[in-house]
Amino acid sequence: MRRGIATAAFVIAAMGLGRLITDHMPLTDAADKPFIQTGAVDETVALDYADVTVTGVHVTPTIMGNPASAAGGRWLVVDTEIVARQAPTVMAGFFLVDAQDRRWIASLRGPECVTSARLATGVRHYASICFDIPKQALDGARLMATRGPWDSHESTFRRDDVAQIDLGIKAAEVDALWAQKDAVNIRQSGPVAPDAPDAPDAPDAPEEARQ
Amino acid sequence: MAALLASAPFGGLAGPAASGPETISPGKPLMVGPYEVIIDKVVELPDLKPAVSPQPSQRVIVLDTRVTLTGDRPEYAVTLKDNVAVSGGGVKVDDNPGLYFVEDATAMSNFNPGLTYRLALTFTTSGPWQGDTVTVKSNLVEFREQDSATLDPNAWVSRDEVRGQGTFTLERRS
Repeated sequence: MRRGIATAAFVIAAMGLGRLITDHMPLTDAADKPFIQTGAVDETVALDYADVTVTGVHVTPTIMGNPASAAGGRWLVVDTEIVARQAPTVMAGFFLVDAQDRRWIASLRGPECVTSARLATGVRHYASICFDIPKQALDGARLMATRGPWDSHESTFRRDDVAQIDLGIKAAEVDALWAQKDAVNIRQSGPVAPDAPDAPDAPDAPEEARQ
Repeated sequence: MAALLASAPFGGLAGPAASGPETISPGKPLMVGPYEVIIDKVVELPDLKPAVSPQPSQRVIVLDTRVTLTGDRPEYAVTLKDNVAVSGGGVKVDDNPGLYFVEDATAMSNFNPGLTYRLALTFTTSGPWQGDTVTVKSNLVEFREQDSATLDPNAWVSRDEVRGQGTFTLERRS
């Protein structure tokens, strides 16, 4: 009898504890959120697994190539340099978030445009990410860079580091950017050669770049 | 029984509403899940280089379309490609169609909302199409907010049900 009462009390206490946990612990949205590290163009954003730098931003109706690639809206081309910090890493999650918090994903249509970067440890890697977007996506656009590819649940980069880099596009600049007609040439993505003029190991690299 | 009779003036004794696939016709918008698709014409070609280069005995059926992603989030092209089919030519049709931007022949793998593209939806066939018409069908693709059986909420899901069907005159080009 006493044993039965003790068991029942234990079960009730366990259920109460479970309720307390589910009521007060962040088991849903908060627990799933990624860790956002912010930055701006030409600033290096340090993630657990890589350093990400946006080195250039272009808006154009056409990406040069054979054939040239026309945008449905405009191409927003984001040049990046990325370095894996401690282990070979694949970054497959590049997307935009605009001022209205809408998402826009990268395209493979433009020649040399990539949607992922396979990084060797410690080797600078250049990648141009191309977004075919409507006008309203330009205002306040931020590049999000992470390891898991974007999906509609945003589940592949939960609890992971994500770089959020402000591309510096203000609302007042959108009309002028949209009106630009010059085509853009995109550099081939891949490792940056050590003897590239601005590579850290290049003999003529600035002192601060070699540090 | 009395209640049923009383409801007769309001349709209580009427049969179920006639239902069936929506008619697809040239220039008429059709929804395939989140995509608004307008098929302007259907063309048979020996190839669509550089995008599609079949064997000499094969042909390519091209749906010349205008496609707009509605809604407010990006989507992948597979939701469109997997839910449109052609039939009626007496030949085997490859069930893995291609989707290409007409202007530069680049493949479309994903869409951002709010943009309209002229796209070629291509089906490689085992040989020349027999006859002068092509039947185009689209599946019903529904938005599923919750699914207790999976961890895949807020997804577009293809149902085994024809949503649209129409007959197009086939243009042949060499």
